[in-house]
Amino acid sequence: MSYSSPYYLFLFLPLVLLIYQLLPSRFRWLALLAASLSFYALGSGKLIVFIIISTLSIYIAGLFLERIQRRHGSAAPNEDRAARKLRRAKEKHLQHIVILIAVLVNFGLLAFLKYYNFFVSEDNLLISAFLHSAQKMSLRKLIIPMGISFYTLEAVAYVTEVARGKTAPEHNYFHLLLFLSFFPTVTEGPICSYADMHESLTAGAPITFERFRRGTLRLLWGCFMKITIADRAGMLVDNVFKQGDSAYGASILLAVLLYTLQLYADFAGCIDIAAGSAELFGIALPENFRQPFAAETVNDFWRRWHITLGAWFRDYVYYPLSLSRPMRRISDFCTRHFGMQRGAMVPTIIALLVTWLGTGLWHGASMKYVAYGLYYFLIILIEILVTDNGRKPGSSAPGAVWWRRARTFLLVSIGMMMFRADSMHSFITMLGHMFQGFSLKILTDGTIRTLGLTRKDVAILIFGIILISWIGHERLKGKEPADMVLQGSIPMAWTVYLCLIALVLIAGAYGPNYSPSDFLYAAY
Amino acid sequence: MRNQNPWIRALAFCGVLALCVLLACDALLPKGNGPYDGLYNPQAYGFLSEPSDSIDVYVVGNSNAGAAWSPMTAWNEDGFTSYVSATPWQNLAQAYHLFRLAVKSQHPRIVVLETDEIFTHKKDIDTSIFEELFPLLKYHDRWKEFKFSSLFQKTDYTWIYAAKGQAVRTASKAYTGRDYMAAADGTETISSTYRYYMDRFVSDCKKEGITLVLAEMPSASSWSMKRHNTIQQYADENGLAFYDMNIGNVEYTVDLLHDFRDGGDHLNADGAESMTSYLARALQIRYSLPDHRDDSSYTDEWNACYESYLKEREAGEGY
Repeated sequence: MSYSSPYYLFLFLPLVLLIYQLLPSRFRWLALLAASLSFYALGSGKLIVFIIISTLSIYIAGLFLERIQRRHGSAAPNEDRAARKLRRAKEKHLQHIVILIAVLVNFGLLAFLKYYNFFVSEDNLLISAFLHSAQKMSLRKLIIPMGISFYTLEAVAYVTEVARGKTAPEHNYFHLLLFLSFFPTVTEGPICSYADMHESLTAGAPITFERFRRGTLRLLWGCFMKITIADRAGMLVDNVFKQGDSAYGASILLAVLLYTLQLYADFAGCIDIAAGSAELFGIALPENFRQPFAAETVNDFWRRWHITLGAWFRDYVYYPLSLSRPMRRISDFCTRHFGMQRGAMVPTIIALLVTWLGTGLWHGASMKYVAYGLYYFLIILIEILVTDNGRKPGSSAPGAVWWRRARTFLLVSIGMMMFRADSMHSFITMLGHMFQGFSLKILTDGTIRTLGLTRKDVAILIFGIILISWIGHERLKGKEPADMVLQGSIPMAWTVYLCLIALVLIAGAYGPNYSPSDFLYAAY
Repeated sequence: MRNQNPWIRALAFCGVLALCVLLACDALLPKGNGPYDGLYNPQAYGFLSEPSDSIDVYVVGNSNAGAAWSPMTAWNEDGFTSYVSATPWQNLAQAYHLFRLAVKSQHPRIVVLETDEIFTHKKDIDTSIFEELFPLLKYHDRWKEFKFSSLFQKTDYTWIYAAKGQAVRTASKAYTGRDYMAAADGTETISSTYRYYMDRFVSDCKKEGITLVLAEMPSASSWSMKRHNTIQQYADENGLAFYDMNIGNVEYTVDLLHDFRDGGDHLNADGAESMTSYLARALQIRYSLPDHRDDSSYTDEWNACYESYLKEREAGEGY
């Protein structure tokens, strides 16, 4: 069940809201749990067993970690320094074993279900190329459970946070199950932290009028982004990328630019629907986007785009790796041989490489995503070297700022093209073809129409781009357009609501003339 | 107004929204059943132009039904009137909606439900249910052709479809595949949503005093013995007649070499005529259907339509 489907918007969500509100507050989390499990079962059927196993693994791990802390965490009477050191080492050792098991269970399931075929086929290549082995591992037909890439990261973060003492271990298995399977976030995130979520998930806050207004406004905006903008842009994008090697010139450039818009409107729209849905129940989700196209560097772009994924890799891969003992040794070694500055850079570069390879592979199991990760690694590395790790910011003149934004947009769009292309071969070919037979005449000679967009579709897209840009601009100035609507006069608020409904219901790209598309990030 | 109970304000907003939606429906929903009035698959809605209670047999199904049932053959040979509401990739929610729409103005003696769609396009049914309940979801995209004059236009269902819903195609392409009706035990599963709609067909027909008949038109590329067993089982459970035209008998067997227009999926005009000849006769004998060929209230329109049908057939293309 997609968040933008009539089933979710007109049946599932209103029904859950009704049941939730009718129940006494202490039982309301049960309504959310039942709704989340039903949502999951409707989307993934029997594969729900994997999320139940993941939850069980981190639940048990949390309890073990608590036991270890209780048993080894407090000092015995008259404990000397050596005994304390020994006790702490033992505690750390046991904690590491528990974390390792929990991580192995969760990443093991993810690796098997999502990456088995990738590694087997890549292994086959390696075997064929280097070992000349005739024996090959066979590919398997594997169905990926809904949202496994998202909830696995949440599960691993929970165990790590418990071990770090930042989150108290949960004693109620079903609270944890609700956290991992919460229906607004299970498909596409945002990737949440248990510490931030558990209170609001189980508080059973009543549905208030203010929350209802705010939640529905955000939900409507999300529907506009997804149904009216993303799915409409997707028509031209799909047609051009379907042509693959036979597409040429400006149509490729147009498709790439529209794909950047499509992916943003699709993913940010989904997050808005999720956040709007959660808001109705009084649950605040972390923000996943912060005007990404206002970024002046690619590094900055990734701090504004899919923020929760970036934060996860920063907290659980980048920092732990760059500050780890082996890295310090490498750094010391490099400092001795290549000097202070270069030596200090080595751990950063290695951690950055691992982080971006991980980010690339998280998006999908193919060499294309490995290359996607490497592409961003290289660009961010160059940015770090050129700007001396951000210590040399560029000029703040408006022209220079806009130039840096345009440059970042261009670099990101190339990344988007790689992301959308069917393969690396297709990406390279299309990139080459973009400059062959390039003519802006396609904007007026009817080519756009043959690629799936009528003049009115183009007008809607231009209107959407202006609206999204204006909202981003207001937010950059510190104003929240939603507040302007909610705190404004009743006629203004009603007009905005009605216009948004009309833009979705009437101008939405759905129905018999369109091919419906799932949320793009739901595939990851 | 701001001081009022907020939920009353919300209710007032819903009222304004409902008004706007009604206005949008009035502006965007097609107001005619002609080929240029904006209806999707307008030939399936041609019964709206027929005089009330003038159709004896109403056939509903996917494109297989539209290709196979020839109302004009039934008229010419047996004298009863029929209409086939067939749409490509039809699912049971759409079939049920068409059936409900038809029985608003018609009281057919027999409703023939073509069963191929029970096993196809299952994924689309969720969307269809909403589209049939709220037609604005289906026709919203007509805002692109919106004219203010359409706001004041009245509904005009006067377009007569000579072939009465049949897709008349004369091309021929033989089926050369395996024996698709080879003996097989076992059945296929009917999804719960589809079973629900089939049960609705059964109960609604009972309530309306209409005889429901299940039929499977010849289709080598989508039918099988297992599917036959499934439908036969359902028909037996509900006391329905089931005509599977893929199983040959002494009087009728589909000609796999000449009766299909596309290598086994849809019948061509010749195939439709020979199949309808048999099935129409069988229905008339079993259910004593009336012969209107001497009834002047029918002959003017139906004979004229028959002439047009013959021309269409000669041209090889219809709606």
